Amino acid sequence: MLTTDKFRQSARVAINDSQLQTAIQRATSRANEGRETMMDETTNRAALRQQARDARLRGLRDLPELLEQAEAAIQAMGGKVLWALDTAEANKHVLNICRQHKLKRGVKSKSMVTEEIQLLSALKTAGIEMIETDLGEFIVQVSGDHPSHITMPVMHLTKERIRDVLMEKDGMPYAETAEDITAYARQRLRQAYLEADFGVTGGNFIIAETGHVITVTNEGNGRLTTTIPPVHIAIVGIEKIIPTWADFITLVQLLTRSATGQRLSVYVNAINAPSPAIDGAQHFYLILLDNGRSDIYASEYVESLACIRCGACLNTCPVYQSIGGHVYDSVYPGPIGSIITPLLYGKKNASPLPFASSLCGACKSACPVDINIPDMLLRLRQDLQAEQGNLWRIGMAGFGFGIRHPLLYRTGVALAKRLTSKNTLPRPFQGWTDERDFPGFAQQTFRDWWQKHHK
Amino acid sequence: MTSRDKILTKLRQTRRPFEDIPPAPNVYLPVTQIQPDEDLITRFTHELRALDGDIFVVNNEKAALTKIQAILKNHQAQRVLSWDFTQDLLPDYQIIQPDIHTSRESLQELEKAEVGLTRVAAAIATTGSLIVTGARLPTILPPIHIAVVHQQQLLARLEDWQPPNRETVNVCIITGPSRTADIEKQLVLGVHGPRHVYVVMITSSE
Repeated sequence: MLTTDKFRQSARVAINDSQLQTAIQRATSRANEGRETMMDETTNRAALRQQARDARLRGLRDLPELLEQAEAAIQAMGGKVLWALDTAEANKHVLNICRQHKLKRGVKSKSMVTEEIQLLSALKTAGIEMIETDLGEFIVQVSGDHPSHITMPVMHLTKERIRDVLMEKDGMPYAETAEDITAYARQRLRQAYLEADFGVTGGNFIIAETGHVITVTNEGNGRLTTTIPPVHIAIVGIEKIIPTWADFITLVQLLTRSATGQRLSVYVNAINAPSPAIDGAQHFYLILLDNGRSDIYASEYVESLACIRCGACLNTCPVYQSIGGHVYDSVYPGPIGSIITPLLYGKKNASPLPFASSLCGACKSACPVDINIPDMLLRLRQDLQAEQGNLWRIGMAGFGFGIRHPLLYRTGVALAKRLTSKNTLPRPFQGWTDERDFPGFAQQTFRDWWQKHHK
Repeated sequence: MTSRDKILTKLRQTRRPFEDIPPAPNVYLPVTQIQPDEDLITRFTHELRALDGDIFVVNNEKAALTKIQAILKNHQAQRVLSWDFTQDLLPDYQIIQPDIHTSRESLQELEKAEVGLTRVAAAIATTGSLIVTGARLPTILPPIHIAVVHQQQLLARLEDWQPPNRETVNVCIITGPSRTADIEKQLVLGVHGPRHVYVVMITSSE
């Protein structure tokens, strides 16, 4: 559970960590420049965002029918579709597949859903090896760290730190440059690929009309994970479904332009069935994960399910830019994460997150599917206040009573003038003014002025 | 009730969201810009080179094979992984051609190939992309990928491509060599996939 105290404490540490600040600044400013350049060179940025948004919203509107359509297409081609109500059932499905095919060693390409269900620890408990193959995620796994960004998992680490970790914990020989470290990882992970008996991926989209599950990667680990091992398990949230390839072609281009400032990522890989030959997995499983999504679907926050996980709202957010990803303490950090996390894990378990925003709206402007993030953050604040905001309610009721009674009002103003004379608030409210000035009350009130001049 | 039925029932029990969304357009607004008179090979060349890939334009299949051999020689490559090109086409090189009987144990052997050689289903000028629907391992396993493209396969935009039907089990849109910027945002090529991507473009002059 993330408490307000814990959030504030880790935010303060992050803000004072100059190395982290440099890293965040470098990563987010480049990502923002790349996104703006790439979105501006399109035929019509606003119209394309609307087109992409409509495609996602049609996908959500017709969600149950589209899920059935994709399932039927995959089954007709010889793939298997499994459904999971929650994380436990998703992991159980994976373990059953492992048992059935006697799988011992897996490789995994980058996927947020597998982090959400904590697949790695479930497999470890069952004695099954699983290695992350995305370079950043591999470094995270070796170091026992957590990713700090949706698309840039180790942006918080320096090259020197990465080198030290890989040398100490993975036996890497000394490597001078990022290129050398990458060459080591290629060789190391290539061997893991050749020895793997199954591969696990997420899915950026599922295209309902043909059942294709899409993985988008730059390194090629998504394509290798689905090509080399004999069994491929894709685990995807039920909300990732879109109706057609035409929708996909708009969405994937806005995704990659918004995420990394690329016209397309290097490997956009689509799979809907097992492969008949060695060139691809001979067994294909799709696990469709609910885990709270159907609750969000029935709520006023359904629009948050349209997210395509590009990370643009993180990069552009002044709060994320100040504190980085770890402070959010969630698989899904940043502005969209501040909506998804309380909805998936319980509002009380993530109560500081909806407040970790200035509601400036930068996230909404950057979002390729125009999700109204600030509006939902505000509504979540209201929900949280309604659930646990007694102090606030009593305070406001007291204020209401005070301003309706002239004597109380005058006394109150006189008192407030004295208590705020140093541009700070008195105890127990001084926390508010620790990091900002309180605009003090005017020495002469309007009432005094009026009485003097208009008697 | 199975989990499947529970999920679907729950989704259907709620009021449908976004009921006022317009139906899908008949014609989608394309994402990339291109002038009507723009030369597709020039644009494709520009985009692919910007991604650190390279292209050679030839005017027939025979010239393409000559060019492929020049690339192989340049990289001192001997072993070529390919589904689409047979040994007789490149007699001086070892063509590794897996088939339906190839066992998983032979992966270590396939892994020794220095080059993957493929044809493509289409290529996209405005993004510098190759669309491959057949071969998988040759596009991703070796450190070099050579793709042979016919000019007629070169389309202006991704929106011009006829998307696959259900029977096309695998489609990959490949845009340049494998890359990462995970470490301090420094660009490194050839992470898991090829470091080099070469296109041999055959013009339809004959």
